[in-house]
Amino acid sequence: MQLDPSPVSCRSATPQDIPFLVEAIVAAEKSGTDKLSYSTLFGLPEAEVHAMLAEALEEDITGQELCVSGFKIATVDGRPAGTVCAWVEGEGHRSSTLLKASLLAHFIGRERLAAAAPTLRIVGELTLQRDPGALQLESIYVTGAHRGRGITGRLIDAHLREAPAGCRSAQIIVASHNAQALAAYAKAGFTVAREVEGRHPELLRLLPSARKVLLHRALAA
Amino acid sequence: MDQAQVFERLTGVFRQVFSDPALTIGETTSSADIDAWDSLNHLVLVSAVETEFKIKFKLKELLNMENVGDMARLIAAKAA
Repeated sequence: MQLDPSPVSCRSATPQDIPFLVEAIVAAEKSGTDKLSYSTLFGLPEAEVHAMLAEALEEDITGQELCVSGFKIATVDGRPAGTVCAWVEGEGHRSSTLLKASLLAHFIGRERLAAAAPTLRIVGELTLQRDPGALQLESIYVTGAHRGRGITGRLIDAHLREAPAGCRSAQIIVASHNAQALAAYAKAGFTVAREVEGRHPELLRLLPSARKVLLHRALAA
Repeated sequence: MDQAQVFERLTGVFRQVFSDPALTIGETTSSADIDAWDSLNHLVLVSAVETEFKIKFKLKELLNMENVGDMARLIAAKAA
């Protein structure tokens, strides 16, 4: 006889969760491949990427994806089993991508950034604009042992329940090769709104995919 | 270094980063005014400005910078 699995609980992340959040961000960035864009773009060994992400998270800068207080954590038996980050795009008239770029500029340093400039121009063709005012979901991750239990959906629902009044839509940007993730987001009510495909031959050396999609779900007013 | 000198050198940096030899910038110029000023070019821009003026912006300064005028004032103060 198979025992019922332990129940899943959801809570907000705290600074004590930073190691798990770093694990989640790295796994989400790799998107099922071995390509970590922070390493391929900036020449950072993976251990340094982990340290940099931890430092960036400690700053807890709201309105972008590297922010502890933007994460919800799913736990099983008190241990983290999954996480999703959320923020409202453009809150305070600040673009999340520029906020994150400022954080990275500070932690990566000018020598590495200068060396990365030609590579950054290549991946620039894969940019998808997030809509101001839309709830953004990012760094979606469930540990291997807990996949298939609907944890992604639980975490997304937890964020949607707390979306500010007036927030009319939620968005997710994902690499289009990740069929498992796309299926989970479709189950959570997301459909493809926009997509972008890069043509540069170097893209697949630098990133998990040369194609990205922006998924959309309307929220009740 | 006065503001005029900062703006002259800063204009050169912006023209190089955004590959636009005719680009002009002013106090209120922001990312909303330059199409190519996205997150990736922001990284390149910060690095190029720090290299040009031999300065290092603090994180809080980077996060609070709203336009070129803010950037120029910080540069003038740091490179004085």
